[in-house]
Amino acid sequence: MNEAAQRLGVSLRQTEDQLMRDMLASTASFINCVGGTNGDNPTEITRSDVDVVVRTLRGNNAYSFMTGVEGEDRFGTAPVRDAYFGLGHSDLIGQLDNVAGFIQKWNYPNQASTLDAEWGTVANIRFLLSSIGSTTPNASLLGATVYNIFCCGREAFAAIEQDGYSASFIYLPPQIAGGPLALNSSVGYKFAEVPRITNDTWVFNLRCTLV
Amino acid sequence: MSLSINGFVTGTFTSDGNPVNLSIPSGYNDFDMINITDIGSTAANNNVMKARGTSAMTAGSAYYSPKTSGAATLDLEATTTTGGFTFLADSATVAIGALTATSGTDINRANPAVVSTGTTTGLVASSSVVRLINNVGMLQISGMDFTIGTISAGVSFQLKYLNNSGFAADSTSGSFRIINATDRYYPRRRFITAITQASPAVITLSVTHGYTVGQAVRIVVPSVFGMTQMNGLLGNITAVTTGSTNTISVDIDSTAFTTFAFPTSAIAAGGITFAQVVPVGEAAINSTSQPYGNLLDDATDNQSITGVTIGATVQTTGKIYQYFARKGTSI
Repeated sequence: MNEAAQRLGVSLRQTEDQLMRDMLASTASFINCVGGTNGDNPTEITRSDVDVVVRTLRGNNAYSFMTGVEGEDRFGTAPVRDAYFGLGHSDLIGQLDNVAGFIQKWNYPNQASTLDAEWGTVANIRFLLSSIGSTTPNASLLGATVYNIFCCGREAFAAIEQDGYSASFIYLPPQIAGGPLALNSSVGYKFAEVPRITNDTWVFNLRCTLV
Repeated sequence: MSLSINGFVTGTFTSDGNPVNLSIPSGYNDFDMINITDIGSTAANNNVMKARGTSAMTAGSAYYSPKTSGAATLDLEATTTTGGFTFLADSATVAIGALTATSGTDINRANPAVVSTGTTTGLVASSSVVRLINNVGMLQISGMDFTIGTISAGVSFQLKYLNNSGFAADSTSGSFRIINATDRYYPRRRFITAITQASPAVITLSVTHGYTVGQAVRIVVPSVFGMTQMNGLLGNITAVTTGSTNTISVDIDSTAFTTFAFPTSAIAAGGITFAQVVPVGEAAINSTSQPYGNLLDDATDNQSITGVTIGATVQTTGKIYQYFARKGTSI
């Protein structure tokens, strides 16, 4: 029962994330990566593309999510700037490593403020990658899959719970849901919320393809 | 011992001859529908009177019965593997169509533009959305989605809301795919194909927009599209058109702005970002007493459904059908 509850909790939050992802994919304005050399449109992600997004977010006075990580006297580490988040697909692993100025999470001066999903940072974007990151199939000039990286400042979007309703965990024991012989129980969750961009100039979909 | 649970859903729809998606949140094991318009009719036609599908049948399959021409009886039952019923687990994730090559003149320069192809199967006039891919000579529209216009079966189809007569050259090769899914959330970002120099500015969008008067939109015009003064401006929609045109009017005076024009194919080959309309704001009711209202037409609305796609083969235009969806399980 405890394990089932744990799995359902993950499923609940992942479903929320997927809905938020789909809302951003439907609605947020996008910037195509154009600095790469793979001959597609958008191209693979490059430092100049990241700089464009950072410049745009900063130009719109978006708040950064994370404070910087101060440099320390440790081999192979580098200080990390205060940063916006870039939410992307795990297929971008390897692609990001090739971007000029990329710092892998493990090369941060300390790990105290890193997140599980974090892969690393370029300039003022810290990238969080997941297998449920957003993609658009066959959407590039050459028909390749386009990877959507939602680059966002703090409070750029929100999940708004509906009046008087929040996520709830449901458990009906066998005596109630299992019929005359109490053979089955019922476990699940439900939630009602609206994902919404709250400031459209603080979130951009940086679209790229793979090398 | 087990306990069986059965669900039953019914409703009606009027056929426009095109595939229709019905929301049946529980899904179904058994789905059938009957024509309630033509009961007792002795007219000389073969309108579809009954159709049935099950969850175990191949997507697009159905049993169906046309009317006997000139009599109020059913003709022999027929079967089909295309244009029947397809279970729709999630309308936002339906797979994209197969890669189909353009041919002949590929894409010409006209208003509206016409795509030549030997395969128009699966396209529905004024409804289907296609994505253009690697259209040599017209790379400035490759990767964009378009609602199509009229279809010449097996020959060509229009890109209904694209006037590309100002492009430098025809496309000489390329492909397209049918986009079967719509983005999950409304209102949606749309690509711009034209902006007038007028007050109010009138913006043409490549795919049927679904916007309403009173919504606020951000207009994104990258510098390669010319009308740089428009980039980043916020406008309220004051009028919309749908059907033969697909425009929104916004309360922006673009009279003195530079001309909106697609970049060349060569520029697009080096990478561009498309011009876009991004829905951002609250609906406004244009009255003094209630300038802003809770219309919810600009709320972010999850419009995806679970249900069934009813294909064109098992329905007749203009007829009302009552459907019956059943689902059973045992615990």
